[in-house]
Amino acid sequence: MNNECFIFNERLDTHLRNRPSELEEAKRNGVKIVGFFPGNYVPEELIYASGAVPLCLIHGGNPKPAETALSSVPRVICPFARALIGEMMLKENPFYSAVDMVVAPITCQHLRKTAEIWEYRGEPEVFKLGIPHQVYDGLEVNDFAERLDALKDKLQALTGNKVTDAKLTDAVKLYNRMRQLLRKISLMRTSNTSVISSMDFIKLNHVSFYADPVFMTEVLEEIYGELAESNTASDNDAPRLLLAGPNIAMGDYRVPELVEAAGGNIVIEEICEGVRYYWNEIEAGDDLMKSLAKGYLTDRVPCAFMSSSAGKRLEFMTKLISDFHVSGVIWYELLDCEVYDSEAYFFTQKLSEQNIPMLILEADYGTADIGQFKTRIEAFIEMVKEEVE
Amino acid sequence: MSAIFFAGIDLGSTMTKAVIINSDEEICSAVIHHTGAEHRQLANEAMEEALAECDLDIDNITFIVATGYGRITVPFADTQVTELTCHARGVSALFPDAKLVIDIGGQDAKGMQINNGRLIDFVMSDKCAAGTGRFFEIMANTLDIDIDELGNFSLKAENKVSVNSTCTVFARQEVISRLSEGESVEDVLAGIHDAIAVRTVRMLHKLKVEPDVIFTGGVAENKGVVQALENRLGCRIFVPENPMLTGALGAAVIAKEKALKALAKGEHIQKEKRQLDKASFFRKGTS
Repeated sequence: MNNECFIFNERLDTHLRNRPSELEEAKRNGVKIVGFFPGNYVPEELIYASGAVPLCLIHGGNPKPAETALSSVPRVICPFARALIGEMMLKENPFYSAVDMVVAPITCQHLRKTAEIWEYRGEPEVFKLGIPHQVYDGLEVNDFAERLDALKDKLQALTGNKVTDAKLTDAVKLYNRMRQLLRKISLMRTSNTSVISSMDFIKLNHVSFYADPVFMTEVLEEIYGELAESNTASDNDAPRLLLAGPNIAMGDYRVPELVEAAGGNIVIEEICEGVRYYWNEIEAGDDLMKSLAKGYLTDRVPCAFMSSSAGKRLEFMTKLISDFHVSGVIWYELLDCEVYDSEAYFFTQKLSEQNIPMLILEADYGTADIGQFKTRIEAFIEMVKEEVE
Repeated sequence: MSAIFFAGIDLGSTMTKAVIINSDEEICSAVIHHTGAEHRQLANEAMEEALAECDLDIDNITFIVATGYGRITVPFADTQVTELTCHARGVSALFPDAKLVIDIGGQDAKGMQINNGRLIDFVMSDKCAAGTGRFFEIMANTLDIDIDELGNFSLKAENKVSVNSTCTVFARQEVISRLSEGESVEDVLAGIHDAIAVRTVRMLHKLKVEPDVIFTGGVAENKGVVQALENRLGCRIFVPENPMLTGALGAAVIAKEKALKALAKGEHIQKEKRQLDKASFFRKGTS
């Protein structure tokens, strides 16, 4: 890692820097590190309650791992999935190297094949967590709860610890608190004030995937307090935008950076992976596994790999557009993310009925398209500005 | 009030264009140059020539807007605006009823939905240069025809040959094999133009095709593409007298709008020190 600060908060920055050696130390003391693929379908609280350290593997944006993976998979596998494969092959990322077991949610084709390739290479062990692909009738909650039970058994075997209801309840509370704080920080952006930039908010999310959750929650409390204090009206008249898409990886910051440089203001993100799903909390009932299944599967807005997902996501996005006073949508999808690409047309049409223009950007991790991205983003912002004026 | 002037400069991937207008939006001078590797030097040359043509000095220009893919490398511009916004405005200055603009330049293609000169939606081709000016350069080379004659040749076609590829590499192979099968150059060319029209119409799917439809960019000078597009779109297409200049013209019109708006507010708008610098640039043939 270089010497540049990754995140605006110094304590978090230091924590992130020291985290790999902290994890090594924990491993020496017998603590297991459980990685999981992003998508917000793997309950971190379950891993945490087993005494293991959950790590969401969310690095991307760098062309090298994505290119490296091409020796194992074709180019039609999305760059984020390829980055996951490449990182595992390169063994240069200390977080990825620390992992004793990885939980792979079976969502889209790309992550499915990524799980298989990790599995094929043998190290670390892969636990495939089946995710029901439709949420219609309530049956899927029982189905998913059973799969989570199997994950619980696996975690207990790995760590030698029992996941008790008491431990799980505490873990749910901890992660609920983290989600709640992120939500409160995010919601501050509904007013016309730019309390926190989209880049900073996304990075905060990214750090939360690697940080110790107790420490993270403590710092989030602090950040929320500071922001609430500094929340004064500003005369920022930059067009307010929503960033939508399947994935924004840790390190894949070209789009938010270009938008910012072009004078746009992203005030809310509707992203499947890379931004923690913080809108809902887990409502802990009598059957905790069912509560988790419900919270992670049915209470939330479905990702595009799900059956009948577009309608529900449009409804959610429409609400965000109105709550956050958004005047344009930037839809950033990764190359070959076919489920998102297939929905782009529907969203363009539906949003144009509400007079919300939408810019579609599709990218690989690389630099070849940077000039085109710049022109498209600048033209889009010029267009939205004229509309607002 | 003495006459005031505004300039637009469009640094495209292949051509650099400069336009100077007066406050009535009449074109005082217009220059088209090849864009080389040394953008900055070229922008200077095009601007100097445009100024000389109407006997003005750089200080006589109230406001200068740069556009095109090299817009940030223009040292003397007061501000930058993207080519999409500029095309929309430039086309509207020439065709007030324009609703859809198709622009095919040296390295990319764009579609713009406009309303009263305002850009309301747009699409752009991806990073592949298929079907753009570069593509036609290769085709002209393959067929051994002057690039300006491609259109005239294809209009003489009797039986359009079906060409499926628009990828420059594959299309070239396909063209060579059609020719070796004995198809005439004219029929093959008509096939190429139709393939480009199909590709362009597909790119436009998200926009509304409503008249007036205007076609700009260097490729619009090819009558074969114009006709193929008219057939595929099912409507008449208007091409400006000089289709390469609309971006620079739009930039000049925007320069005027921005300048008048700022003047009305009493704001100072020009960049501090605006100059056609040369010293920092090494140039072949000069010491």
